[in-house]
Amino acid sequence: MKRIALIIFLFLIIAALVGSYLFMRKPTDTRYEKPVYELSAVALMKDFTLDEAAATQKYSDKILLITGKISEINLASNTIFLDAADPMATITCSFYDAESSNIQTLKKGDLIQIKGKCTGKLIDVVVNNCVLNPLK
Amino acid sequence: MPKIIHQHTSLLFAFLLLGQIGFSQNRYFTKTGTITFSAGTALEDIDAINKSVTSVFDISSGQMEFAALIKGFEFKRGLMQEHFNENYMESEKYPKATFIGNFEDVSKINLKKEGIYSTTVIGLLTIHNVKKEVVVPCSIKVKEGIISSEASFKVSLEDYKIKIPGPVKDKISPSVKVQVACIYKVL
Repeated sequence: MKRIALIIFLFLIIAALVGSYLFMRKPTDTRYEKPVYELSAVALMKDFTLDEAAATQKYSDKILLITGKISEINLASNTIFLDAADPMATITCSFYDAESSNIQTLKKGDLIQIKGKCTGKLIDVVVNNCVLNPLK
Repeated sequence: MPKIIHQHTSLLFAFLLLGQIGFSQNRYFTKTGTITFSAGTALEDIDAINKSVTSVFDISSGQMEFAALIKGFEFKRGLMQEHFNENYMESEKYPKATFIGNFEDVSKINLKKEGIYSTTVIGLLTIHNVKKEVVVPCSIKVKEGIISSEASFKVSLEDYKIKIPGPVKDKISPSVKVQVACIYKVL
């Protein structure tokens, strides 16, 4: 009888721990996630241009490793725009605020690789929670 | 052939978003606008921010547009973000929220003169695939050549058919406070 009580007690503790972990858990942190797709900014834009719905299905919510040339840097919002060989659109890469010191050393035209989570396409394809990935 | 059609539709969308007039210094845009909202109650704080909002306005026609990706809203807790996307906003089905409208009296705004112009924007707000006409007070600020906009308004969850299940009903406010802030560039 005592043993059953102990088992139930332990079970309740574990359930409470799991529950509070699930409840307090932070959103996915890109920095510790493995990329699902590795591709160029141009290829990513091309996929969205060909079939936006299919590309949204494929890429949104996924961690991407994207290589591209910087077309513009917006320091105020920690955002880098990657050239995507499209006259209207680029890849909007919104970085973690903690990355701002890394962004400041970059300039237009630099070839960089970023890791971030794709959220879909407006005019630009948007990638959030970005971090700079050192190029090999 | 389908490729060409899709390129056309995406260009068409871009032009719809940007208005139909030729390229000139009349239009201003941003791709780094922010929308924050708070839907919390006394029981719980529920705040989220989206930092990649696209907005365009035309100072000659008075047209103003916004678009945001639902998945771009970030919460402090993972579970909130998942519930927001999967259960309440159904972001797989309805990935975007948009606003298309006009300044009530665009002639009052002089972008060449410093100041804060309080105005009203009237238009259609689409959230969760529901379109509703809204009237939103908005201010346009011109300072040291930088043009920015700010707006604050409330969105009723019921209006946009966003259903909150019983167990969490007390934690989520039925009226969500939304704040928009953009810094524009000449297009």
